[in-house]
Amino acid sequence: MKVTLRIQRYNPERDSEPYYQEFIVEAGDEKERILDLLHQVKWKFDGTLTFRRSCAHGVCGSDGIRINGRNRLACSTLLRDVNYRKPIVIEPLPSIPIIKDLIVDMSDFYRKYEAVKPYMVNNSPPPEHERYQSNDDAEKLFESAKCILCACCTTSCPSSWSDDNYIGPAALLKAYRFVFDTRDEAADERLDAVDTPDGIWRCHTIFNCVEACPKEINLTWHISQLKKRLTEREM
Amino acid sequence: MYKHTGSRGSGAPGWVLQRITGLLLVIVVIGHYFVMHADPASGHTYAAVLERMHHPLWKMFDLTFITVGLWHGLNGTWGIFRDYKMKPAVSLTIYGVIILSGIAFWVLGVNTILSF
Amino acid sequence: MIKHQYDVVIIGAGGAGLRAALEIPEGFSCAVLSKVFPTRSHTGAAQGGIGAALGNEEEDSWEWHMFDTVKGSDYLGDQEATEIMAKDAIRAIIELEHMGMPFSRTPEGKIAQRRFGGHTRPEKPDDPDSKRVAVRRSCYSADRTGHVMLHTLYENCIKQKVHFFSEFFVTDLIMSGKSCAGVVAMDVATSEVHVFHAKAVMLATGGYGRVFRITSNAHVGTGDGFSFVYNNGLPLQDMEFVQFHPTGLWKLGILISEAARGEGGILLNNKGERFMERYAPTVKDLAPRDMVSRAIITEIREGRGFKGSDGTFYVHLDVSHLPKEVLNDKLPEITGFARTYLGVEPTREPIPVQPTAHYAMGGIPTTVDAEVTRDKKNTKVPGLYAAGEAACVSVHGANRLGTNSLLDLIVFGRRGGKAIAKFIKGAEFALLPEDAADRTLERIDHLMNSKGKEKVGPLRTELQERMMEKVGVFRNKKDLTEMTSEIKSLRERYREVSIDDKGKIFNTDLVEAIELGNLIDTAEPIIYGALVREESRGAHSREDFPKRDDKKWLKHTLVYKTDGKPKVDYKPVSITRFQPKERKY
Repeated sequence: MKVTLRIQRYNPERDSEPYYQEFIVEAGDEKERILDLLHQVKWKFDGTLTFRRSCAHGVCGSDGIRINGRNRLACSTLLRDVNYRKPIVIEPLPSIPIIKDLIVDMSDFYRKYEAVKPYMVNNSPPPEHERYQSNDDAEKLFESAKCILCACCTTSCPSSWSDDNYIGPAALLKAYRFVFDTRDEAADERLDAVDTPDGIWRCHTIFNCVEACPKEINLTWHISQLKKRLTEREM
Repeated sequence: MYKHTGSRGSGAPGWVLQRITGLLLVIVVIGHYFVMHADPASGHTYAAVLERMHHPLWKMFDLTFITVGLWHGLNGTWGIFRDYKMKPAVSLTIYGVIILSGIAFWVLGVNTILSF
Repeated sequence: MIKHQYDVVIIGAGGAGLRAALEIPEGFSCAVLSKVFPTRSHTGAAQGGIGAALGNEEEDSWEWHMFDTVKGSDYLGDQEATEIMAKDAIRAIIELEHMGMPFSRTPEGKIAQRRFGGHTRPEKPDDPDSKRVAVRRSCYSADRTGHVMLHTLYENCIKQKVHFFSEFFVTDLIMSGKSCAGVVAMDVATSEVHVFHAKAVMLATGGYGRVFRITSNAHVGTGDGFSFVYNNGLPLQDMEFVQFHPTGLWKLGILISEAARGEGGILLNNKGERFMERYAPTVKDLAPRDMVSRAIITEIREGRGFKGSDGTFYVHLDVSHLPKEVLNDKLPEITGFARTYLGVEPTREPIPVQPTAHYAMGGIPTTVDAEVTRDKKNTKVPGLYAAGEAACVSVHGANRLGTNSLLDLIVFGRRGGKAIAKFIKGAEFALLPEDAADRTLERIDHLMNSKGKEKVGPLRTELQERMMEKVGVFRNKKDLTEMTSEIKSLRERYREVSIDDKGKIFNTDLVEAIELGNLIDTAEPIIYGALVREESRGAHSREDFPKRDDKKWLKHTLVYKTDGKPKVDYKPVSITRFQPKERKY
């Protein structure tokens, strides 16, 4: 079966602005991954097509792109998930700088991730065994710990679109991951880091992040827990 | 990280207050509706308004209404502006206009209510 | 060309590289180079768990863990190293927990553990010779153990302010006489070549799964580290031992963790028989991976497999009888994979699976402190270290047990880091040769200007398909001999490769072309190792030599690159506690 990919191209060494190019590729069945089709283009038709990818099954977070207007992972989106009877529109993640074709500049995204102190702080001397934690407390962290830092959420957020200083849902989720870890002692510092004019209060529960997350993380719920914790602390 | 116009403290009180005032406004608006609009005959005579405005409880009601309404509306407006990245001069101007108009409307409103 | 000088340069930001970086003391400079952003490393794909005899769920001991690892390795693992790993495992897991890794927990709040293939205990704990039954030894975090471990290690590196060079693609080692003096790398974002002059270099470059067509490995698993070592005249050890994981998702090779069977999943053939009962009567579906993979291929060859639409065959992994909570809480990721990629609903239907190239037991020979060695006498290469899947310590011997790879990363990553920390305190920078980057510059120049007819994609597919056919689960002399000439011709054709992208910014066309060269370099010692080893041991199964032959072959192979046919040498196996016995489960 023939499928048309309409891919946004941009080569900074050659183009003054992005443009679209169509490729007709051959798909075995509707279970083929969009990533496989991108590979087909790169390996068969045009080696200059540039995108990131690694694990190809949705655990490394390299290949967040925009498919028919939705932020998704190329490797976790199958043909049957999109309308493939019409050209499938493939673009880089929106609202962050494009470097080349589907590759975007993630440095700001990573900076915001680092701003929430994404590591456990516990300065009391560790016991000889593990620090005990109930399974319920552990499982409270699991959903947030699933995050693969693909940036699908943050780049889908209207608050991020209008203010690129906004810390964004991914960093807030990471803050949750540690603030709610019973073993952690730096919750206050992390809460301070998100309680800024460009921080958590720019989240207006729009839910775009939840819709975009390829790992099905309910980001808005996690952010709400942080807001609750902050109001408890401040008032 | 970045310079901002507006409060430097925690955003939590503002966030909570916006929700509390929102809730209050719903109640006050319902009251306002029943007094002013539910029965068109009752509220609209000069005498009826004059009588209500002299009553201390109604003064309290109106003072709450204007305070809560102004704060909620202007804080919300500022929140909308705040979602956009602006040059400091622009944001300072908008912030200033919002604060000043808030004070002006509040003084005008309070003055009107208390003059009865 | 840009020059840097660091006391330590670590190549690869997976489990081993990150764990090593955490050991570099303050006051010394350390750079971690990775061709992808660190959390994209393949450690993150590990699912089922990490092994340690914590005894949180039932009685366990490091000695039993060591025995299982040695037996699992088909007695080819070095027992000195295995003992270190099994003993250190307990401390290593506690340390990970203290670093903040989120684990699933027991009702008492301890780290939860579950059963895994090949991990056993004596049925009567005081009688070591009693029948062995499966033990709960795999510490886990649902089925995302590798993911949370990778993130925890990266987070700790941020805390320790480790200096990362992300999307730097290393192309060569710099050798200065007999020592290593640094590495050459290409900044993928700009195609600029950088020279890193270092006192110590650690290769934590991971595996080579992409040599094969069906693999669970990431696209970045192109055996880069093996290629650097091999091309610099150093040997690769035991490369013939390639682990095929029995349960890769049909067609795609995506890993379906052994945890699925650890939690009670079973394998079924087209007659609905639980065939593992015939191959491993005691542990059944929880036999080691090499045995299960062979059993699956045997079932398929004897006509008891299912034929897929792509012409390949598979068997069924059935988890539908497990309680929904187990699937949702303990195996959420893999049930998701089955749904997403094959449209199979694991709560009702069996999952189609087939063996998938998964892990390199062999690799760069090292001491137990991750120091790279150059010959059968274990002569060290000063300044060069290797850890993780890239290294061959050897703890996995001829077949690795599930959960031991994550363990290998943190135990030997840490030991390597400590050894480096000691080394750099006394060592001077080795002289940096003038021509350090020449080979890389030539290689890039050649690929950028080549007008040859060969293309990266088709050539790589051909290599992967041939390797899958001829150097797969079962091997024989005829196929392997054919493969030696195939690889020669592939290497010649590789010289004719040209690329489309002539730009400098994110030229992934160029990166893939260099990676293809690395794949070919890595395939060669696999083929030659498999050809010379005329026995069947662990994951290396020769149809023409179906028995294990301890008299002739209880030894490691070392393959060296030469201008002609690779040179093969041998190295003895360290045997301390457990004498080789027949391996039955």
